[in-house]
Amino acid sequence: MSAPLLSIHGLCKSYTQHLHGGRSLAVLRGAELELEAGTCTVVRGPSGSGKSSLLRCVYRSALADSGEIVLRALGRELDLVAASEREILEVRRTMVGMATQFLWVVPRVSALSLVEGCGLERAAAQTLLARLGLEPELHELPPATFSGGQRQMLNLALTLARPRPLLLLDEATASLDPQRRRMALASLLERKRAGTAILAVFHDLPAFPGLVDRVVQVRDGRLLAA
Amino acid sequence: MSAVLELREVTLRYPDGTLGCRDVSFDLFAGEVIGIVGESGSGKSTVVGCASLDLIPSSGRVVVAGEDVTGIRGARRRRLRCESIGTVYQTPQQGLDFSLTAGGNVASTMLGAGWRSFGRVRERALAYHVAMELPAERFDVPVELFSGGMRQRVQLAKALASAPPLLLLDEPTASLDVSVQARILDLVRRLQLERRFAMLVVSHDLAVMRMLADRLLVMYRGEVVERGLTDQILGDPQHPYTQLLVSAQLIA
Repeated sequence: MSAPLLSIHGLCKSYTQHLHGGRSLAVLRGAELELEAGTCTVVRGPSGSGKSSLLRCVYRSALADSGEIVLRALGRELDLVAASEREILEVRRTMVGMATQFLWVVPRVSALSLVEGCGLERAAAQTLLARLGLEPELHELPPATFSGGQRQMLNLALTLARPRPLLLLDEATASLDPQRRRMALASLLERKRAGTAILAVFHDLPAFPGLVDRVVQVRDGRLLAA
Repeated sequence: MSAVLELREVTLRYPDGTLGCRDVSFDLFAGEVIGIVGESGSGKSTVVGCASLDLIPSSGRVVVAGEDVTGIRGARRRRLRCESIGTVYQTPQQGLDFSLTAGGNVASTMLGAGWRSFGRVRERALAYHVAMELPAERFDVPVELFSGGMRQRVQLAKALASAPPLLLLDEPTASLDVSVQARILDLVRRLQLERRFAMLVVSHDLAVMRMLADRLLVMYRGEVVERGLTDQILGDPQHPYTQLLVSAQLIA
């Protein structure tokens, strides 16, 4: 059997708050995880247990203290903890996408232009936004006035616009109505079937047939089979 | 691939003994945007001054497109500045000759870069003038009659007219009101995406940095105290000063 797409080994992450007496909070203490292409793993655990930190360490929007996060994709093998910043930027362009519950985009640019900016033709961008449930009359507007749910639809569209071997989802569907949520999950399932690995945090474990393959629980900074 | 701009252990001490910056090193590659953040007096503009060849480091090296330019002086230095490096300064007084027209300011960079045909210089300068969303009928008007936002647009046209591979922006919108600021930043972002020049941008506005920069250098008392990907610096700052800087801003 070939090596997994993602291998996390001995991952430790703490936050040192220098403005509060240098207090250090250890959230991950030796996390281990393997993720195969074309599978979906959901991470569960109470608030503050380190679910988001795990995803952010993989995306490198947070710095791990120690451990390894080995990504094997597109013929390459790279430790995301040790990789240079420029390597990480390349990884984000081609290999790893992340959607959180918050949208951060350049202001004053329309939803459609933002999705086109990910390399999609106009028609494909429109189709993607529509499939995620964003009304066509909103496509030409910048998301400044969008609701929380509409922002999440755009955020998912931006993440799905480029096919990438690994998707990280941190509560990325939390504000969607049930119908939109099903639309989003259907798009994710389609990606998974095309070979994308998904590592996700969901507020409520989605009851969506075929999507979730495995659930792991964060307990005392480690990942356990749930 | 060699970097468009490399600084190697650049230290600059001003004649009165003040430390401008100490041991600053980084590589900036084509198509990449690096931001420098830090409080006033932390050395941000000194670093830009060394990169723009306006300042000469006390020690260390400045390398532009693979060539060590630290020791280059005189006409070659001026030529290099016009050809390879566009700079937009914080105040238009630093970057523009107010007695010249908008067109004259833009043309001066091109002439400095070796353009000779008057007709072609004028044609290209006008094209840049218009591309910066300045009204064509103001092309032959002295910049002293321009508003603050328009002057910064003229600076941009002047900086980009010889199509340099490197653009330096030193707080380009700090003196403008927010609506003008937003339009200038939109323009800068669009131009950088279209033309893929390397960009070094100084700002103390972290929201601007999140919008523009791939990577950040955090400066404190003349030194780079932290560096990293923009979202990591803003979301998981490590150094005490960076934590203070990030926590001090409401929107980041």
